[in-house]
Amino acid sequence: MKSNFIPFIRVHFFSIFFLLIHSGVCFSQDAKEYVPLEYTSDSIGLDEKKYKQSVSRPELDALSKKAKDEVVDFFYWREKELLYEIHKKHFIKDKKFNDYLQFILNEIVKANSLPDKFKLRISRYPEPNASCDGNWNITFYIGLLKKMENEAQIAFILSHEIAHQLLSHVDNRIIETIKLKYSKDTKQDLKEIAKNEFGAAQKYIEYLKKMTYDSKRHNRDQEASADSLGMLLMLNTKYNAEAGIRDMAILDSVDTDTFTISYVTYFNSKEYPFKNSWILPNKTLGFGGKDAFGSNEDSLKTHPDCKLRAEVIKKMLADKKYSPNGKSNFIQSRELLEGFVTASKFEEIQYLYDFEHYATVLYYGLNLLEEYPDDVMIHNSVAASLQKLLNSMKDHKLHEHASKPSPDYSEYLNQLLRLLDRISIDELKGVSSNFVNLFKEKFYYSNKNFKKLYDQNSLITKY
Amino acid sequence: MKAMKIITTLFLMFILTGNISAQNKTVSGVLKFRSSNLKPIYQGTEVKGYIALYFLDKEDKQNNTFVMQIFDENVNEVGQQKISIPRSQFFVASEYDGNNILLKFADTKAKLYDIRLFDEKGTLKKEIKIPVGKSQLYQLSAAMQANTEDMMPDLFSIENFGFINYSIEDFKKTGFNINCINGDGIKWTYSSDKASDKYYAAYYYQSNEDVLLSIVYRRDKLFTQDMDAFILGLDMKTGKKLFEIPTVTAKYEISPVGAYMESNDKMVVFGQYFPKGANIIKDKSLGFGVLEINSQGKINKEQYMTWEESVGKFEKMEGSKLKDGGYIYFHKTVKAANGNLILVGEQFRKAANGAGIAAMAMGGRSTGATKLIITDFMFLEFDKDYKVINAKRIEKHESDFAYPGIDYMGSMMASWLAKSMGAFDYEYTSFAADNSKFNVVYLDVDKLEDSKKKEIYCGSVAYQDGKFSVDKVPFARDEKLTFVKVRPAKNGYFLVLKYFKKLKQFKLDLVKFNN
Repeated sequence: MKSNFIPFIRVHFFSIFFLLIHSGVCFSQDAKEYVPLEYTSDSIGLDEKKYKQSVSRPELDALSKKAKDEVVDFFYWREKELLYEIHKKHFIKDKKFNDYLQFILNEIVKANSLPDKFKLRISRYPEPNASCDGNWNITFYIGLLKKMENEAQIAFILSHEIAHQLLSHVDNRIIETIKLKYSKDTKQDLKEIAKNEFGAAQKYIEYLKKMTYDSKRHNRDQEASADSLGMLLMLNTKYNAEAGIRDMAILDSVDTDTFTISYVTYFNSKEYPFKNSWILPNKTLGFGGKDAFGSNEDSLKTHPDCKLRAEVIKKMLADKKYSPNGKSNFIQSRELLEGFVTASKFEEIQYLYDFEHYATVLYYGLNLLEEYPDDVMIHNSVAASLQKLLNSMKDHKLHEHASKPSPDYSEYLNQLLRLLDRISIDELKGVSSNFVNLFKEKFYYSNKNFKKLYDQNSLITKY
Repeated sequence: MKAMKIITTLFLMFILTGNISAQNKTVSGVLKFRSSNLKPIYQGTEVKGYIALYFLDKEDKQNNTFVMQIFDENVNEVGQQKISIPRSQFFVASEYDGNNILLKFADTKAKLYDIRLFDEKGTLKKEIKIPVGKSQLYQLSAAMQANTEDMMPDLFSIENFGFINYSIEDFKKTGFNINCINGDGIKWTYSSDKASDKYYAAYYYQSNEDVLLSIVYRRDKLFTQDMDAFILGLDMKTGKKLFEIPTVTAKYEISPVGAYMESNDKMVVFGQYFPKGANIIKDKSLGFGVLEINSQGKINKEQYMTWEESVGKFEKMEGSKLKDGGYIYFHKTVKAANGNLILVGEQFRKAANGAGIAAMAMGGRSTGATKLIITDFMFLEFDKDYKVINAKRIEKHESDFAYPGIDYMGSMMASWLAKSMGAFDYEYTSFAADNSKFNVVYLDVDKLEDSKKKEIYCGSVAYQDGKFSVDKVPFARDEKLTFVKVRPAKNGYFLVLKYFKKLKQFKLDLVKFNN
């Protein structure tokens, strides 16, 4: 969050408290080595002065200069942030992939005679989400794409994001928040609070809590209205609108980590035996997990409950006596989507590796090996991450690439994090060697990347 | 506009506290922060978490409201709540016994310790008041100022048992109380003789489920340097005195560096020995002495090694002084997993204080004409028969300690002062859960030549399987930093605390040693 008083950057389809870098998906089972896609890197400059001068909105005219400047600052920051992400290879460039999703967006736009101003991007970020930034930019994350079962589900999510744009949710929220911040009433309220000799800070917090709860309630209202308008947009398309109900079920379970990994399978050998003490839990202290200000978790939610959203969608469809007859779950190729879904799983690993989340690469990589035991890209990602972790441990920078165990994580992720937390540098060398030795026979002579990593491992673990 | 700034900051505090990234812990919305706002929570010798206390509000004329944030050993936030603290109180220490968290505050006005006991759900279970004497309050205030409060620990936890608290109280003279506290409150209290004409102070040494071992210092006058010591054994379950063992034999006096129990009937007292009747603060010691004592207080074995017979095997000595200059201050005695005894020492010497002399010459305020120069670590290793088998020197850069009054102090007295002011580079010792290894953690400041800059390292000397190893980590420098401090952490780690005043943020990084 870069702006002090602006709680939201984008309207997200489904927002979760993102404790862990979730990862993703990709490719055909027949492939022996997944080849990562191309990513955006084109960079264009943005002249701050020119940009800010070009911002012209009638609703801004009613604002004070300070408030207007703050809104314009936000618009500039939003633009810059997007360019930064493009430059930093956050988006997938692959034409087929983009065309597939663009086709769905175009279907919705055409069917509803909407302005042709939307720009759709596929983010490599493994968060199960989609977003609209309020400036006609819609982003679909691979973390959500990997969960999609058909085109219609994607269409409903895109319809929802389009609805946010059509209802100007992001810009309205920014303007309203800043307007409230600089309003006479707020200033007066704050002055009154400041007059208190005792307990002023707590009164401020109570005041802020109310403002925050109001803002979050407004968010939830916006989400509900985006669902409603999104459904209306969806109804005009050829896609099966019931997909929206299934979307909600998918989103409801998206935070549940179902991975199960037997680390001993990969990290054990006669020479470097696996130690159970690496992964066993120890008792850590607790303190109730509450915040100091008695915040109500439900009141802080940005989105209505998924089950509730599903019920509302069902009711809408029932009220309209909706029948899926003549509607489709797929207009384009089913196989192509399945390919993208698979590719997303691999891309997730590539993203985590590129952005140096090496411990998470191990976690997602080892899990994906269960599904794709013959894919050398996963083996190479895991082997390379082990070497990166070894090097970072040598440089005392392990904490930059591996989280600490936490009560918020699943047991299997914590097992890995405990292992990295407790293991000595020599033991990690053993773990790294075990992993490449396990697959030497399979890949050493058939894959030059694996060979390189294997030979490199011998050098790294020798010193 | 001030109100607007406050509202923005409080908004951050309300919304953003506990913002977790993959690599570290960042806490935002912190208006004011001092390094002493964050303290470790110990379980015995092990760091099990941290407590951060921030001022939030004036509650009324007598009390302030603070936000108390608790982190586990991996700096995950596990809870927070508001806490009301009288303005006359300051936070001293915190311990965790596996079931409850004890917070200890000192009240300078009411002259008491205010002890608050929370369970693991964050519920306040008990509030206990324990009287405390003026002298201890002065010491604690001074330690707070110097941020060296953990140099004189007087609170310990014992897993699944409770807490032991030491306090000094003004009786006829000053005496001490030892309180055993558990989830139900004070279980027992042992006090020194309230009618005594002598001055007493007691400190924790070791405990098992049956016996609590303390060192007690006794002197006739408050400001005398002449004192004697004895080992006090209490029944852990009842607080009844089991034994009191003077550290004086027919010929010698021992100033204990450590004591431990090999069994309930065999205690070992280890320290520097002096001729009988010597002043253990002023006089030079003769070497090292060991007493093996049974539960009746009978000395079954005594053994002495001169400096020449011990350290002299490895370093050139002149009496108790190293020939290359200086003495050794011993911070800790550790009984290692292999049965050997390790004394953790740091070398120091007195030297002319150029800046202090110049200030005196110019008639300004001066830190004195003499300073202490603190140099290498010296680890002395004794085998099971108390023979010195190794004196391991670990080199580090020199650091200075200047303070008014050192000119008139002997070397040992000056080293005690330096210790109480946190001037040594030694930071803490941590132990592996299975006791197979311990790490001595220290700071090493390299004043780079031809530059006003300096590189600060956090070093670790590990002892495992009879071998010493050293690892050093430079701190990450960041121009936006207001300050950076090292805090104790779980074994094999140190915690880097960084505060960014402009960003109103502090960051906690757990950094792993490679030894």
